[in-house]
Amino acid sequence: MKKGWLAVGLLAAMVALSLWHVSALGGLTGDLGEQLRRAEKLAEQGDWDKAAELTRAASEQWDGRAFYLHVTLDHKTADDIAVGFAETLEFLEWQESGEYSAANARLMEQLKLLGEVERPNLENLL
Amino acid sequence: MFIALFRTVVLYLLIILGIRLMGKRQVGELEPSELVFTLLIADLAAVPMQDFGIPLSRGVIPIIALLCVTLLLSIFTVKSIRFRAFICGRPSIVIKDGKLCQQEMLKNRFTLDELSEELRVQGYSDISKVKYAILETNGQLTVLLNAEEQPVTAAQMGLTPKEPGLPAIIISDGRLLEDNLKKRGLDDKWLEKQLEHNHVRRVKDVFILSVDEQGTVFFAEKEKKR
Repeated sequence: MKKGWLAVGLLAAMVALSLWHVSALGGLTGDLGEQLRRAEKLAEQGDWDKAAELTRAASEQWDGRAFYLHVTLDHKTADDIAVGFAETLEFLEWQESGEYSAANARLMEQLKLLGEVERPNLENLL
Repeated sequence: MFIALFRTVVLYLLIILGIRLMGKRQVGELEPSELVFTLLIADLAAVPMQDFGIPLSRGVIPIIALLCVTLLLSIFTVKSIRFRAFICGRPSIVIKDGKLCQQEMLKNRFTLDELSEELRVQGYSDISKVKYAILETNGQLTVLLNAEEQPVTAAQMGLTPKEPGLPAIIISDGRLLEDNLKKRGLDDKWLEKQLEHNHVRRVKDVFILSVDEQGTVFFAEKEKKR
């Protein structure tokens, strides 16, 4: 029976861990998405420096979680977003509004989809 | 390269642990839940082993989850007869009093060819001599012959042969198993005597030395290397 309780404990721990992961990933992608949205608004108002600062902070936040992200996500997904941040920052630096807008929109969409993919809803379950 | 090596070792050890926890049954004797587990873990382990873009956790977590569920199902099947019948099914009688139970065979999709093959494998050719043939839940066929067809036992003949009991291995491939020696109530002097009797000087030179509960010794010397 000890093995049974161990199995129950392990399953409960894995359920708790996966729910925490859903919440943590949702929080992270939501935060980053919000930062990128604010950066875009600033860029539209012509404040390129502040926009770059916000995007850089978001990129550093993403890079700071690299270990956690690579342990839990497909490496390609995590790397694509890192590349997206680098690309967006480059357009910001050169103040290319059209390209920046497109790259930022793609990055925000990638983050949004990533936050949704692990959410325990019927759409994902089926 | 190192990643591949590390991942392979981790996943292999995890699978070994899983199979070990399932017990000592052979693949042909697995319960349906255990068979499914065995089929799935190989595939689950192979993907992160080959594709480094997939995190190791994608292989490890499903394997541990499957292992836990299989373990719980095993415990429930031991505790509850109804649950056991639901998961493992019930044995089916396919031959009764020398007659085929065709409905049962149909229900189990057990063909006449398969039945004949199973009977031949077990050394029976005449269905009319079979009292019962039972298709077990693990897919094996148990055959019980009519009383007059069964081999005579010593008890039926009024004989009382000596019970040799379980033989204990005292020396295995040159290694002395002292626990077994003590459990049999024997000592080093007895061992020395046995070695001397078999013209061997050292324990290292013995391949096997076993003794049963009647004290009957089986001895085999190690073959010399060429």
